[in-house]
Amino acid sequence: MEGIHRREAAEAEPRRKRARVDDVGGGGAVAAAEEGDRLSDLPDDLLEGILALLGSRQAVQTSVLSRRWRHLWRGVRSVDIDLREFRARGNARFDSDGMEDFADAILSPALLGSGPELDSFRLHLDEDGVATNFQFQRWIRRALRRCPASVDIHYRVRTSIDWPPAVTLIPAAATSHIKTLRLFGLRPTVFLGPNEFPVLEDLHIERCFYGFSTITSSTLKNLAVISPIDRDCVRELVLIAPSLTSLHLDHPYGRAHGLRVISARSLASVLDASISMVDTDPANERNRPPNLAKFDFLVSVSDLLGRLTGVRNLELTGLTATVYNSEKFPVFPLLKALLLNDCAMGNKIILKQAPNLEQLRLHNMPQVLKKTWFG
Amino acid sequence: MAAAAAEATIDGGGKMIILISADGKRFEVTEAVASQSQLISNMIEDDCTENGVRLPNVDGDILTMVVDYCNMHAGDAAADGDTTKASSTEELKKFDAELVQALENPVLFKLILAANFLNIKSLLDMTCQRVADMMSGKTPEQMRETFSIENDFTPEEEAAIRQENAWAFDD
Repeated sequence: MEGIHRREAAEAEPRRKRARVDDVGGGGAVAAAEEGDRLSDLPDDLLEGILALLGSRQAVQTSVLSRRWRHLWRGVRSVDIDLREFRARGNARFDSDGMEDFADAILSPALLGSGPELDSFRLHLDEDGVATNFQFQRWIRRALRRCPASVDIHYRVRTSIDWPPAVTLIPAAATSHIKTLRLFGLRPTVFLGPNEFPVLEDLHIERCFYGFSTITSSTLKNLAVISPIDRDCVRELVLIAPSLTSLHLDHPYGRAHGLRVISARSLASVLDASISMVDTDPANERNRPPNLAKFDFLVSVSDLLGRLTGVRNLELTGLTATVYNSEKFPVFPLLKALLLNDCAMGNKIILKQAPNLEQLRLHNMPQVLKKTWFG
Repeated sequence: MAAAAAEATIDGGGKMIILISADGKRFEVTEAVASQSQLISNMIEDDCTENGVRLPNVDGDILTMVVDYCNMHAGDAAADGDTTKASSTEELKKFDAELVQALENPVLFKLILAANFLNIKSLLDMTCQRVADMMSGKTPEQMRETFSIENDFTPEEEAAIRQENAWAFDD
């Protein structure tokens, strides 16, 4: 058995032409080697880059492909643990022990000591994948020791849980490299300030309960806050981000909930904004005059829009005329493209306030309003 | 042979430069097009493209693809936020998707090496992603088959590695 394997390997050797790495399809020397394995002939850094695009589990599995692949995965600058990789293979039953062993192994202190700094750390789990919160925290803490530039932690909400798992990103020395942070379905107990995240550029917070009431960053370029879980204690998010160029807010609201985003300073740096505020109250409630909470929410939206004085592309969903009349609606001197989706704006005030508008798109406009736009 | 390259040269990209492949094929492109290659961009900056840029690592057929790609994406980097961008972005996506789908294994790897050598990040990312997509969801056995990777381990050695990394395997 062993003899046969060895002999095959020996025969294969002359065909391998290691030198091809420097000889990118150059001339006739390669003609003979068109067949066979050229993937393995790519240099280490490129193969590591390709393995970084796979989940970590698959990346480690490439260790058995051939000698060339034996240790490549150790140099991969990405850790990507996805529960779905442990669910596949036609097996409905989830291998939770397997998943825990895997996460513990790939994030083991022994590996961490020798591994390179991470470009990215991605952890996608749900209730099945987190036996204890303690474990969850341990994996995150260990990954942070490798100073990832991008962190993506996703907790798939399977039931409508009230209290998502907490996630703490400490110490500051570990978070100081984070440029991209994406959190989904969590309760981040992180202060999003300039000392904690000095190089943060992209921040995406979705379906999270964010317990602090400020985001302060002079480096932040892209911000998305989607469907926040707001409890009575947090109704306001103060945003200070002078370099922000893209803002995406999707905040459902009603008489009893709605996270207000307050910007104490100009947001003139923002070029692209997408703001959705959908009233989730039942129809009969919606037709009543707003209560104080609802009114405050609408005012905050109006104030926020008023600060987007440099915006070029704007998408608004759910905007109602409740708090607007023509005097109040902000001026968008540079606005070029506007999309109004399901907006109950009954007159042409926006056109007046956006002198440089080139493109207007209307989606799902209430029937009665179509006349006032097009009639 | 460099018809594709010659067609798209009159777009205000300024000076023309000549790229010469390993097998001596010549491609005339604007500096703007060629500058998507960080390597060539640096050479332009250092003023050493006068007599043509020899690319001894890149075959003519591969360079044709690279030049096509760069011509297609030339407006991409220059455009800033104009409204015509949306439709052309769609076109580009389609072009890229078709390009990358059509690639057979050996050509795909040559293109990766060329993109790496010329330092064209978007092309490198796209081609590497294609390989990752081809690996994704496959068992090691299936990967070997897809890429004709020769297993040069003895069965005992392979078993030992599976044992060592048992936490990453199903069994």
